[in-house]
Amino acid sequence: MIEFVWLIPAIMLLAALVNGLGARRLGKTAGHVAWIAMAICCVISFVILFQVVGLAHDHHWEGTKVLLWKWFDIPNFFGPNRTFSVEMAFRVDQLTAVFLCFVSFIGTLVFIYATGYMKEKHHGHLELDPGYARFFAYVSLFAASMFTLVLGANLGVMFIGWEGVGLCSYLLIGYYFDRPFSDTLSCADAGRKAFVMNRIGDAGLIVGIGLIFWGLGTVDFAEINAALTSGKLPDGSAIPAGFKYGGALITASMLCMFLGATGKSAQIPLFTWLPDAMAGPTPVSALIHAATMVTAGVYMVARLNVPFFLSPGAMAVVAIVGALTAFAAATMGLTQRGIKKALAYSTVSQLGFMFLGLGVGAMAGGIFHVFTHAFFKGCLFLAAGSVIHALHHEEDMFKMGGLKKYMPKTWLAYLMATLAIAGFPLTSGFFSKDEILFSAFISAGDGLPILWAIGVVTAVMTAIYMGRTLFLTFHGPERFDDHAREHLHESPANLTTPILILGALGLVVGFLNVPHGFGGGAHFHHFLAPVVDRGAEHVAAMRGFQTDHAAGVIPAGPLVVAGADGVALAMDAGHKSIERTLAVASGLLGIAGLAIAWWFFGAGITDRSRRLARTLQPLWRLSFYRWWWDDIYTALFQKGTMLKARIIWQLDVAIVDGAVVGMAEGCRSISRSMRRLQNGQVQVYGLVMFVGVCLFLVYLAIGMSNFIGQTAEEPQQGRRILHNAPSPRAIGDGPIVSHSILTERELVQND
Amino acid sequence: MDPTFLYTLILSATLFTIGVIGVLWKRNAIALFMNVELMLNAANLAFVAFSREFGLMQGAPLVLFVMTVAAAEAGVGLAIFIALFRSRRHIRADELDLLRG
Repeated sequence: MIEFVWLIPAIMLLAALVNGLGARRLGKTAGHVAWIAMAICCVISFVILFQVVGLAHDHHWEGTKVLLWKWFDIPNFFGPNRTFSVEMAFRVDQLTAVFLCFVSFIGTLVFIYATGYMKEKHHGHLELDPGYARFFAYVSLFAASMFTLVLGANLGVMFIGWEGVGLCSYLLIGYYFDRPFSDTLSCADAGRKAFVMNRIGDAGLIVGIGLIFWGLGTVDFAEINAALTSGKLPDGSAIPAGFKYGGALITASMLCMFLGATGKSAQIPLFTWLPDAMAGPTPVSALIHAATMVTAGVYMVARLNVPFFLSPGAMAVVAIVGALTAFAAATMGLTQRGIKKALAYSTVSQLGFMFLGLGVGAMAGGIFHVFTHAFFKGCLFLAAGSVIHALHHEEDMFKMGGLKKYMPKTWLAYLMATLAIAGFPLTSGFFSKDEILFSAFISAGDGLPILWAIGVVTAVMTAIYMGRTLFLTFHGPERFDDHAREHLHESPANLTTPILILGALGLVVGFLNVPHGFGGGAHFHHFLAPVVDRGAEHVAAMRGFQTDHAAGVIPAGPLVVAGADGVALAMDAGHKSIERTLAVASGLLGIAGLAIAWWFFGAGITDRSRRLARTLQPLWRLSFYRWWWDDIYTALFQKGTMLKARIIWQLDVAIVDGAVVGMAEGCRSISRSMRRLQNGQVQVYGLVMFVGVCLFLVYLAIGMSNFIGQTAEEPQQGRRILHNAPSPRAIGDGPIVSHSILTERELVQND
Repeated sequence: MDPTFLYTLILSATLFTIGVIGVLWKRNAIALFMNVELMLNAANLAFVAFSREFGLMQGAPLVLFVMTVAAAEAGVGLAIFIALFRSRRHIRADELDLLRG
């Protein structure tokens, strides 16, 4: 089946084409086409996963490359004899298989959910959204791009997927392009914002890819890894010095790649688009802006773990940016009123956690958090969508409350997912966050575990803001009006079933990766280790550390704060006890966070919560206005850019359009005066013709008489000069020249 | 040069000029048409005059052609004028300017 892995993106592309071309004629069929296509992809993905599990028993298996065709060759690119060749090839290995499976599985559930969500109730009966087929065309195209991204065997193919998901994200954020989104943005603006922010990141990604090709002569993942670990290019020469451990070039290229990741995965400094991406339909928020697309940056860093491990500086940047993003976004999530907005900041925060994990070397931990987060955050968004759907597009949590009574299934799903994300003991979020925090702790070595401390504070805040959304939405007094209460109802089964499945899985998938400290096997980690821990192993071996998967090696990245560089730490008894202590502590902190949320918001918006906001007024403002991050960007970049754009636009209108429109206007005014000539009176035409004929006859008569006079005078000279080019001397000779020109003209005239 | 030939040509030119002036001046379509006939026949006269003067045969049959065409033209033209008159109750050439720009 692995050779047919191209079927997965192909099927989704076909579904996108069918929906895109069929458009409104398809009606309800559009949704069925999409979710059935996705379900087929899901089946294929799981078959591939089982095959990969079988193949992975062979430790020398490094993934199977599926070559489709040669994409392009540019000879003599970056110097002589260096062909920039990119193959259209897919690579199936453990990391790819994991991504294929959870993307297609969650995708199937979200698609089924969307067939129910993209309907509106009008006068008592359900009507499909006007853009129903368009929606499913976009999400199918998104799925095709996402599969291409995770399947790509080289940076080129990954880049196709990377841009494809960005495009679909833009299209889907702006799906309700005729609606306003917030005070300042329309939905179309939000889409544009996402696209522009992503472009900034993508520029970095392109530069990074270019640097890698320039240094290593290839963009194929396997060849990059081979060149970096062996230190030799395919032609046998040594890699440039800048690409050795800690080299400046590899650091620069990895930082450029990470800039791309900050755009796609919404990290500081490019995270502000994600909260506004909630302008899109809720299934899109769940699938694209929570579960899958935004994790592309995490995937990319994990895929490039060898070059990243070879660059301690870049790894430190990843860890610090991740930690800061996690913290900043969590503070912003604490005070948001919109349920989707709060979830969006939570997503940014969790993505920060993932990068923190990657940066401290826990590549598998970061991917595991991607995996668990996809379940519980997908569930949270879909449940929020169910609430929003039931309340007729009301997103303000201050106008909800007490919905548990009306929507028990949605509440149950939301509760399960909230427990998971808050890190309630033994849920999936507990295990995945614990692995990241543990790695952050030990990566500090003997120094102060500052990143770990930021992570812990963030984890507590996560529990608080998630508890807040849960209690404000489903508990406490009802704050919606009677009109809303009349229509309030539990969502239909095609909405509730997917969220219940996701919620339940969000609770239990953590058991795939119970850490050694708890006597588990860390199966997920060991499954991925051959792919994502190659960098750690290489660096450890290079620096003289022994590594052994079976013994439970935890790779630890560098930490600038402590001054330590990338090493792999063997998991001894001492570490196991640290891991247990930390896990118990973080579990207790998660419960504490939920308790704090209950204390302040369990009974809705009470004096207690208001007093808290008043007491911490400056902090509350900092959080509510999102650190003024958007406003700073507006003042620093947007205003100037808009001013420049407006000037250039005016120039365009005045000069370019002026020339084009002026030309057209000129034609029009000329023809306006010319049309008077055609007055429809035959006799006027006759007169004009008559005068014309008369003038022509006079002209002929004059010509004739001249010709007769000329031929009588000097016929030979006239002919000679006509047929021979005049000599330089003849040009200088005034009378002859003028004479010859006269003769020529007359001859031509009379011929 | 035979003076008869010269007089014939002068007559032809005079007739043609009268025809041109009539075509440009007259407003009634029938009168306009009569002036066209005058021009055609002026040309016919010139044809036969040249034919006779230079002893060439090409001019004479051409006159027959011109007469045939003139007859056909009169047939078609008069039919058009009748149709026009039926719809507009007049055939003043200067008011028939539907094709103005």
